[in-house]
Amino acid sequence: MRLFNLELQKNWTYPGFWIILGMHYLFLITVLFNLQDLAGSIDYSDNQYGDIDLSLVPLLQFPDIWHNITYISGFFKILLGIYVVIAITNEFQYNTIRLNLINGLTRLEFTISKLLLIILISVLSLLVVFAAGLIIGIKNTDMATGTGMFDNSIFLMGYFLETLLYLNFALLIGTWLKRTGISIFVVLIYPLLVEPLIRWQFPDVIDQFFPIKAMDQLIVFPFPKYVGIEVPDTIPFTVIMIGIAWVIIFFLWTNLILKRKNL
Amino acid sequence: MSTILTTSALTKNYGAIKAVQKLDLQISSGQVYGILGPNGSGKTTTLGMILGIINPSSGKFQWFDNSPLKNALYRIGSIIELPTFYPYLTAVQNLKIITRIKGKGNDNIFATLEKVGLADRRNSSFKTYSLGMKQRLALAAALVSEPEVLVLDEPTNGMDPQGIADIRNLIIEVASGGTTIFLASHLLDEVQKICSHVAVLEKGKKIFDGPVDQILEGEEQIEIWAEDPELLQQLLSEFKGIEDLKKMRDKFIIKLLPGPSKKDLHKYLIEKGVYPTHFMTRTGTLESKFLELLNHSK
Repeated sequence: MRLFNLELQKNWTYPGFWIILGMHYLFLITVLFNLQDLAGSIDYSDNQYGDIDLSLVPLLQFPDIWHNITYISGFFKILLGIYVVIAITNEFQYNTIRLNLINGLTRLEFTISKLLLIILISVLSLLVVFAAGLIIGIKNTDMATGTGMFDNSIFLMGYFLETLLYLNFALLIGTWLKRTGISIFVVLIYPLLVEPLIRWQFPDVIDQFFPIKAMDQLIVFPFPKYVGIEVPDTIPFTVIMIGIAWVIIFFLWTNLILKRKNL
Repeated sequence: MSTILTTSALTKNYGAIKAVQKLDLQISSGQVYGILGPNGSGKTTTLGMILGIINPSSGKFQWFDNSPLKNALYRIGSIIELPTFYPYLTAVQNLKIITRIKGKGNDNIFATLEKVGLADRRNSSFKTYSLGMKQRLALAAALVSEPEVLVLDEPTNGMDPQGIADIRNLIIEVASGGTTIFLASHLLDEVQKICSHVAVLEKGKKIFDGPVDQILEGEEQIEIWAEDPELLQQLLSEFKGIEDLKKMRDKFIIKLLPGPSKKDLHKYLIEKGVYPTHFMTRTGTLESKFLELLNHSK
């Protein structure tokens, strides 16, 4: 609790905290509440899945909604990642990490306090997605049919794990590189370019163990099911385990880097 | 007197650069211990190691009675190099970060800011502060937890003369309350005015340590002048027990060997019919001794 309060004290009056997180929630809410319209506005005529018009598909009914909105929401975690990078690299840029350590915070406690920040913003993001899902779902589902509202809610857990994994990755990169600009660059470019290029060299069996792949496979692309391609409506146990393993690895790795640093 | 800090063969290498070499120090409670040395002699690296932000390459250090570093740091207030705080937080908010880490209450914050002369600006964010004010806040950060030990790295760096005087007086006041102080400085005058003990570092090696009084012993000089300088010079050179007779434009500077007292010298001159018009004792300065030590070590 002491570490959580400490982290809150550092971030509460930091304008960046409100601006970046505010942007994240604003984007998230705007997109989720307009999803059906947005889906309809896309031209599907040249689609690999054939002629499918998402505007006519029941995207936002229970229980499918959980898979669909957590998948869409996943794109907005980038902003949270940028904030985590800023929060950690600021400590190095301003040298305030020294202030923490010389007053008796251990390196492990410092890493834990940053993990608590990550958990806080992940939980907040999850709550927004959950609330949005609930409201939109109730609006779009004929409740009389008695479909289970929370049947696919494992995807909410998947979303939380996905955010946690990505933000711990951002924490590791920020701790390692210390500089804000280059760290943000790496956090953006690694998942998009670097890891896919590396993965390309390996067979699928090994692929699933790469961190970004581990993150992406938590919530797979849901829409092919609307053209009859089977998409599992749950997350395999091994996939969850690999995801959790990476969260732990990133955290311990961050702590190891910090332990070895002369600050 | 209990031992506050012991370092044994403490060493830090940065690649081929030997920043600190096999440093042995012992600091006891109540001491004001100065660590002196030219820039780059390893002072800040030493403080960084004992405060846990720099990992030693080898050797050990021990705070208090075998307490773990984390617990020891709760009992220590410190300043290291340039003041670093959260720029967007105010003085009060920054100090709250420190009391939070140390598990102390916030009651002391206002009084501490008053002590360092920042009470008026306590609600301005740190980034609006001048360098002098930043230093004052750094000292407040070190004092706010009412520590048993203060570790100060160049505490008056970048301050104006008034600020320097304020901070020195504050340090002397804190020391007189029984707080042990470990201070690194390259300002010899500062160490001489504040410290009871001193260690001198050069290129990471300790070349001297001991009480300040002891270093300055035998460093006393006498300035002397009379109406007839030539006769005075002749008499002085005949007087047994003087070394280093130096002639300046309007005074001679001499050093008495152990043995004859100033009174003996005075009496001798008067008996010979020379009445000094100027007779002044100059205590030794750490500066001259320091330069001498450095030259010897080369």
